[in-house]
Amino acid sequence: MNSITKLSIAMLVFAMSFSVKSYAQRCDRMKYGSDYYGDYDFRMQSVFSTLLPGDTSVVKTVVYAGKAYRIFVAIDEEYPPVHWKITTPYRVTVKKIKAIKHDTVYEYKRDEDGEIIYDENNDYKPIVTGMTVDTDTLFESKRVQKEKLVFDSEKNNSDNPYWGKIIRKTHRLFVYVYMPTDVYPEGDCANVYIGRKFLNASKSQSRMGKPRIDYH
Amino acid sequence: MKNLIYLSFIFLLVGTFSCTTDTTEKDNQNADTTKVNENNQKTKQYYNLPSPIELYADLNNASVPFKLEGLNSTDKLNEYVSTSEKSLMLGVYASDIAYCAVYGMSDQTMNSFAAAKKLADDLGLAEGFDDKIYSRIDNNLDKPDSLDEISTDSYSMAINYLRSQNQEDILPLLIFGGWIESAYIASESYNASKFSEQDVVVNKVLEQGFLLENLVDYFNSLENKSKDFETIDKQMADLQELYDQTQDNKEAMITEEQFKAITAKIIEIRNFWTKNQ
Repeated sequence: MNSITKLSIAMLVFAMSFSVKSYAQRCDRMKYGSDYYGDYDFRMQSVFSTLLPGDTSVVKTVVYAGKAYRIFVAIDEEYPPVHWKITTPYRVTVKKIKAIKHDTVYEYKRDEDGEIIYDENNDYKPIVTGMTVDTDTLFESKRVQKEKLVFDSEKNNSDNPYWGKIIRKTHRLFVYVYMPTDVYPEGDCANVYIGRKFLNASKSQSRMGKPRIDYH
Repeated sequence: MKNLIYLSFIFLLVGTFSCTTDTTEKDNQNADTTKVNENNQKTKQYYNLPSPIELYADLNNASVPFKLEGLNSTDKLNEYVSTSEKSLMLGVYASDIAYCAVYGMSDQTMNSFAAAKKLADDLGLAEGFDDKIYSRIDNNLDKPDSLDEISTDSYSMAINYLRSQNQEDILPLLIFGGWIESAYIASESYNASKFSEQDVVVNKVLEQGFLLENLVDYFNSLENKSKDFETIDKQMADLQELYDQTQDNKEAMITEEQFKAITAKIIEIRNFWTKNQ
């Protein structure tokens, strides 16, 4: 095995395992929801973490076009399922009124030659005959991020407790996990499994080692 | 060989990251969409950024030619003086290593490796990976499961080391450096005679906008940022504005003018940090 091959393999292996490491408990060792791993690789983007009662976590990730993804959240089977959602963020331009400017234009009494006539009885001020107000509204554009609901575990009518899709266009996904306050007294690992599989084998993958598609 | 593996680990610190920040969720202004957090709850945030390897592999799969001039020169190594510069440039060289490795360019890999190794040594990152780790990796190259476990230990050591040395600023800069280099290489790889939004390079550059959004969120979550971070924040905001403009398109995903503007900005930012202006 030449050094480049070794390097590539090491990169691949580490890439697959990097983001799934826990900072507190070794939640990554908890193989929750193993019935739903299928042939997806969950090592690249899964996040294993401990949540305390009342905590919320959000995993912000990017899903690539041309790949299939499966996402689910799992905790210890001893407890009831945790509530989780997937949203996709999108940015829109919102126009807001920055200022409203009023310009008042007066019309004055004029003589035959078009000259303004001044009022001798009122400090020689011009005699106002009419008035128009021009209103100029100034807008400012602001980019605002909104989120569209993609999946809600409490409204999932499928037999499968996961979200799965072949991604046609690269985009971001946010996975929210809500830890109830009354069910898990000491908190627990709430693992967000984000699995991916290539739809077509590639020459780069084969050069970098056999793609690892089995979790165990 | 051990050094090569060691550098690959540094690269992967750059390629994929997952960090946490605790925030108090604010009203997310989802008037016509789902309101995710209705109360002021404490939220742990995790960020994932796909590795540059995926981008380079997709370019390679699409037979996009290797661009030698896309690599950052190793001649300028001594010009990167500050810790921030070295951290960011370590990410740049690590990304170059991945690019060369995916395309099988061994000589260039070693050049970039030597540059990255020096920066890593200067930053004291080598202390985050001791010889025992190297030996374990070297002895288990053909055992993916063992490498998986070893990489867990190695990662924890690196993070703990950075934290113990109060060098947590290094990680975001490493990540940014690795990302901007990959976006730069993608930009430099564009060589079509006629613009098409179906072009694989155009698509890859466009996709970087989503990674950028995650990076911007990540950087926004950081506290006590130095002046270099402020510069990066401004550069990313400018680039994001260009990406945002593509969302106003009625038909095309991206126009030729938008593509040129985005790639020009990416090149400008990358060359600013690599001092190739």
